[in-house]
Amino acid sequence: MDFSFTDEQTMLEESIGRFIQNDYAFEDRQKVIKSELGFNADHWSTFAELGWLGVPFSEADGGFGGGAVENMLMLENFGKGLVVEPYLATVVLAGGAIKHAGTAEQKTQHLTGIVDGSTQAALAYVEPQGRFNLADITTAAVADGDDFVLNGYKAVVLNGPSAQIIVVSARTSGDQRDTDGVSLFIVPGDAEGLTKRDYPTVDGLRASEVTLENVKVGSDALLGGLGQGYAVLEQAIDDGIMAVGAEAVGCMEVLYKDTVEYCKTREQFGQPIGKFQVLQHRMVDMFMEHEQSKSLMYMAAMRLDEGYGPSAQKAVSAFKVQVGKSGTFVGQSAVQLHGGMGMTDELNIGHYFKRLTIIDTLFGNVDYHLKRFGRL
Amino acid sequence: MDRGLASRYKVFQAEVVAFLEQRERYPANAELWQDPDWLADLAERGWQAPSWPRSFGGSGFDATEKFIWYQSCRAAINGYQEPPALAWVGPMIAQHGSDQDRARYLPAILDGTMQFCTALNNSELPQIQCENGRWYVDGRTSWVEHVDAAGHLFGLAGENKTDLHLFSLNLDRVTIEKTNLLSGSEAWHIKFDHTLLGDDDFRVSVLTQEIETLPATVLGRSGVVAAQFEALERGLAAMSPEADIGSPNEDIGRRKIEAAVEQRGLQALELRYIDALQRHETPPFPIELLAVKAFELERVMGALLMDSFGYYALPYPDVWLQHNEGRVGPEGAREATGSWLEITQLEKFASAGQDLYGKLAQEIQERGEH
Repeated sequence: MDFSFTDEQTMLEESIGRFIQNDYAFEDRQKVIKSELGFNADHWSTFAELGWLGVPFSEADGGFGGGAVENMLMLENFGKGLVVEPYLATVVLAGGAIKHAGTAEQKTQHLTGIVDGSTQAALAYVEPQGRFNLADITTAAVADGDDFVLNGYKAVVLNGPSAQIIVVSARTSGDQRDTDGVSLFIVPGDAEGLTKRDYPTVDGLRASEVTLENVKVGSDALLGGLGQGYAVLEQAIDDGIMAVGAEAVGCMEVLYKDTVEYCKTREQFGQPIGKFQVLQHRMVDMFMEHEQSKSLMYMAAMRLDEGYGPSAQKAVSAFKVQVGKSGTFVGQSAVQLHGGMGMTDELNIGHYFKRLTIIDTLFGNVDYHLKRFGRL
Repeated sequence: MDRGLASRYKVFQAEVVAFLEQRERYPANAELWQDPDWLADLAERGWQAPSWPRSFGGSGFDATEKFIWYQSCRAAINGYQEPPALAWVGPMIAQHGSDQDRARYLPAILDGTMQFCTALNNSELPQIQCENGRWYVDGRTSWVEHVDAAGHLFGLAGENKTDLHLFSLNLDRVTIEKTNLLSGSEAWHIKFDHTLLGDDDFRVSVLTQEIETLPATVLGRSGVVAAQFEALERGLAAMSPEADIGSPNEDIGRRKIEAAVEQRGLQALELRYIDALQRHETPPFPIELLAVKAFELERVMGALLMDSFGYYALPYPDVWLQHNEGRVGPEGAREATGSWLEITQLEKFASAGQDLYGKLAQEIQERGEH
């Protein structure tokens, strides 16, 4: 039993922490999310220069050789800064799927660009009818000689607007909700027949509705075995849960600390409101929710690093349940304790709250993961 | 980061589990500590004082070994808790007492000849005063446990809430009044009516250190919850086999799964705490946090146990055993009732409410200032 970090992990955490502290001011972020691109391209280049975009990839693929713990440290700090650069979509989700199932050629072709910052990517796995069921897919891929032709519709594709490559889940056999028969394809973002309708999300990110109309890709676009994509998708999504969960833990830390600080200085009835017992107890609950989420985060990361399987999946689902409940509570409490200020766009509190609310829904909410936990 | 125990701790864990499995059934905790065989078995292995340093005749366990010990014992023995003399009076005297105190008390505690009850739960402290060179105590201390087995009281007295005193209970003008607790066990109220204290008995040591009683009662409590889960599974299998999400008994199934996730959270918190102690670092959060979470979860588990056993949860544990031992009935029902009652009681005695919240609130407000 050892919850300490290696020297390399500590250095990684410190370097990200310094960046968030010194170069990622909330006011700048507010301008960036209103820009056309929706993130800061210079920051993205910095991420690449510092090697952060290669953290989860093997050294053979040009990466850092990190695992779930390293990703956790990065995302926890990203959460503290409410980072909007598309690390989740590009590196964790699309990059993760390629890492888990890509051929040597696919890794060379795509991961190199992701690691050096020249390639933006996205994972298109959501369909409107599917809720959180990854296998509920109507998008079809039909063999046409050596090629595949894709038709269908993908919803809320994070980083869709900037993605040069999109990993798309499509059904190549089986019924609509079968786990067998799901295949993944790496589709160029500007492929003929692929149209995107772009929009911002409430938490400041960018997403697209993607329509695939007779999109033709070669057999070299198939990621993993034909009809065997579900397992790859599930693993990439679990990596994503680990990532957004860590982000949520970072968000919660900022919220409870800022709330404590605010309650120590804001005066009502001639004394700081932090003197009121009913508010103190609420802050204690926020503190506990954060600590418990952080503890489950460590356990989930360690389980994932031990090897992917049912016990890791169960740990990830437990973490997601906790983050969903805790994030909602901490976010709402922070807004309430800040009073009217908490509802304003100018203060950071509401933005953390929005991100936490979205994280609860991403990749399956509390109800979904309770069921998954019980099933595993 | 590594979730697993180091190999030497795995060996120790296996040794403790094997030791505990030597007995098929354990008596109630209070009886256990009066059982000479149990005390002899512990002494034979050098485990008679798990929370004491080796230099004072204790087991010398480090933080991880203590955690393994408490978790294993609490999983194997319903309501496992060391008597106050062993759990914290001894360690307090060892750490803060004079050499004279240590020589007088520690060997006697260790060989079981001196038993203490502890009184910390006073709204009004008994007062001590000197009259003509003689010392007297007046006042009342309430909700004291283990008085029947104890010859001495160790607790708060005087004006300063951090002063601890030792009293003999074999004095004139001491009134001891018994009260029955919800669980069927007992507590006592002790009244001092201008009680003259003997020279040997009075004020052997005045301890002004902060009292740290919580770690002894909190660490290892995930073992209690794990044991309760086993009982819960038995109860659900016997009474509500369809309790699961999507079934007619979905509600209890969902509560069970939520509790299982909470259990993981408690365990993870506890492991982080132990890990910090083991590395001699300041724990990432105060022990009060673990206490609140543990008692909250145990209360949830208690309610789930009661619900899962239905009518079989009605009798008092001892009554159930008396009438149902060897007869058809869901095993573990006594654990349901016992756990629920103990938890309700424990929560009160451990001040899991406002006191713990108050300490945590102070802690998190101070943390921001450093």
